[in-house]
Amino acid sequence: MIAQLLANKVNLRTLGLSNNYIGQSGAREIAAVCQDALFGLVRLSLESNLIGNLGLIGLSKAMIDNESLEELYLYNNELDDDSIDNFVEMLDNKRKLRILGLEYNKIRNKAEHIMRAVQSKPIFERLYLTQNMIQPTIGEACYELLTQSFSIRELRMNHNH
Amino acid sequence: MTPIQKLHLVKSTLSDLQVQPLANNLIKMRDLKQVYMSHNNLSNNALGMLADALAVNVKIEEISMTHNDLSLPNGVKIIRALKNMTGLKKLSLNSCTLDQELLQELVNSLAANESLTDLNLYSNEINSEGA
Repeated sequence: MIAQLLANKVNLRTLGLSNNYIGQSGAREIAAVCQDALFGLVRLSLESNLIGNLGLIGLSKAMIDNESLEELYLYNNELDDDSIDNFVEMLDNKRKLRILGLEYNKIRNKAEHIMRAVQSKPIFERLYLTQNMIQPTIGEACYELLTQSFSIRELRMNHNH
Repeated sequence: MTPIQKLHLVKSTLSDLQVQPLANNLIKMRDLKQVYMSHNNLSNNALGMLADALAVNVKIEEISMTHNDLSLPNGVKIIRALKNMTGLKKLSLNSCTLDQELLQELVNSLAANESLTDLNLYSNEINSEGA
């Protein structure tokens, strides 16, 4: 229904659906309308929605051509390393990305790929990875992010491993 | 009298006795552009009175009714009133107990709107079918 509502909302910049139950199939529905109609979407909030890896993979594939996204919030969605390759590929062209929220998931070693994906973004400011399962081996990627990014302002990594 | 364009009544615990004169006046003043009435625990009667007043205020561009229970019988009237606001740009209905039925009403009300820039529906009861 939300996807149907959004089909002609070509001016939409902010979509907030956090703390609902859209699940994997719901994420795909929203992703499809993002791809087909929401060409200027700036802020997408899908926190706590039971999206899961398959939902994120669907979202990542649908959003791959989007270049307007600045803020993406995916807190608490049962995500682990299995969906991160597709996710990082989607991030590749997001030059306007400023904030990425991935707290309270189960991301492990592939947090490194996320860090490397955002470190070259020209205006990227905030990466939230608190309460995942990131191991101490992340150190080098973390160091690179903090030393090579000119725009990073905040890195949250409390309560990992 | 200068027409009211912005109405901010957040967390005001509005009673029916307060809403009634407010609604009566809003029906006469049709220049409202921004309405913020979040966190008011509005009663069913209050929702009905406000819905009638909002329905004639077709110039509204921003409306936030978060943390009010729109699952009360008159809640649907608030959602239907949105249909008249053809220039609506920002809508926040977080924590309004929206289920799939109310969501369908929302879809119907906003079907013709092409000006929406911000839609926030946090913390409702939207499942995979609702998405």
